Amino acid sequence: MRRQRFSTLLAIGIGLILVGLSIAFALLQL
Amino acid sequence: MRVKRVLQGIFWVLVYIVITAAPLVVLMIGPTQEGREFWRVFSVGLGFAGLAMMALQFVLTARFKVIKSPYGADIVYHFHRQISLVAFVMIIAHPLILFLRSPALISLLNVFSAPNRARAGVTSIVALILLIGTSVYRKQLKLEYTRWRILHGILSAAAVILAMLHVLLVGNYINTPVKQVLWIGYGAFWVGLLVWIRILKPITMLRHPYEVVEVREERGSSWTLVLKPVNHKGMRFIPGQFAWMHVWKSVFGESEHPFSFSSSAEEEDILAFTIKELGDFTATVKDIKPGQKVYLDGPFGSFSIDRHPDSKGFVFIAGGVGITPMMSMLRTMRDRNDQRPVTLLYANNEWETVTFREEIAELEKQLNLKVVYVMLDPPEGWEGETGFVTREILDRYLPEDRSKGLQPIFICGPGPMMDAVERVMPDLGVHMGDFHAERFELV
Repeated sequence: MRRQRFSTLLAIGIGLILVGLSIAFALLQL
Repeated sequence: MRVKRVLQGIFWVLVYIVITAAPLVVLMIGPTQEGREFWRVFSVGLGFAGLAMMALQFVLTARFKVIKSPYGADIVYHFHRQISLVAFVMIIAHPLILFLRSPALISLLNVFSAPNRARAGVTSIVALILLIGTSVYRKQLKLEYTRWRILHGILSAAAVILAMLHVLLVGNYINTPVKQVLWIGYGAFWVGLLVWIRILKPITMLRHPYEVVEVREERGSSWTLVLKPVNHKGMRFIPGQFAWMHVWKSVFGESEHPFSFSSSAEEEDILAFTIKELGDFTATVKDIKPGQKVYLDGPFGSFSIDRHPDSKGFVFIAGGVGITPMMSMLRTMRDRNDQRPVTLLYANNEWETVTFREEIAELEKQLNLKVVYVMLDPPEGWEGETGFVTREILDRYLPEDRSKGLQPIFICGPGPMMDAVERVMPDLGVHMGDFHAERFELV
């Protein structure tokens, strides 16, 4: 359960990093 | 050893981030297109990141030992499920943002009138919705595991191929040689992965068959399959690990299931698995005849006393058929004459269905082993522990000294039991690094 929670947080964290990069990508393309 | 595992764990997480972020970083380099607006490009970025994550999903379930060993196979599957939801949200956001900014684009959903690039994108998303829906609601949809796996393979391949086709046909972001090399690289990597999973690995397994030499009935509707390698050395495992077993159909088929070894890791010629009749496949194990060929993929898993060589002793907590990895560890300790103290808390519904009861009594004489049975429905005159494995029971039998690294705790059993035990561990003074759980409910 604890490790599962960690892996869920990791998935969300990676998602946020990629959303951040998508924003950077969009800003750079303007 | 622990530090090395943590570093390996961090390394693979970084590799994952680099591979999924690479398309976005490469897209940022190079000429920009005039007149694009923020939301449109942002949605494209989400689509690219989502696609890179989808393509990597195949790596997570491709059973690469080097990737799984730092975490444990169950957690890699858990991550596979969680990250698929994250990727799904990002991919769905891609067309949704476009529709919100330019409602006229909704007409692209009509696959009859839409251009090919939109057709590919829309069908990819439909495949993705079906893929996620059939996985999250498999049990509610009464979709049998083997069929689900075939469907899962087809839908996931379709979703990725159609999405790549969509990228190719839209063509806006593959207009420089660097970007073309990146996408060709992704495509080649992905095809190579599928060739490995579907062709090369099955061929290796086919060349290393095992023969069933005995099918033995155990207490508690369980059956032990004893296997011996045919014309090869067999596989060496560490006690507590598991392997995927193909029994019925061709090795290229999808009828494979993960089972823990129940035999001693010190036995060189023979492997045994003990399987309880639960679902569709497990109910057919008793029909297997000696002489039948089976194929194994393994060993996998990090749930093992051998990963803790310096421990002073161990605590095993088993529920029902969750005893199988513990049996492998106990039998191995017997064969090694390992006299470190072991406490086995073994929960069952009824005394008559306690798998391996007689052999455990023998092991108590041979090992420094204390066994505590916890009966949900105890027989008349039962003086032992009853009910569920509660905090009070655990407190009574866990070692007095619960200092970090001294006596690791291994638990395998039904999900609710493992959750309940894990919840009380911190209160009982157990360091969570000493708590090791093996979960088999993969989907």
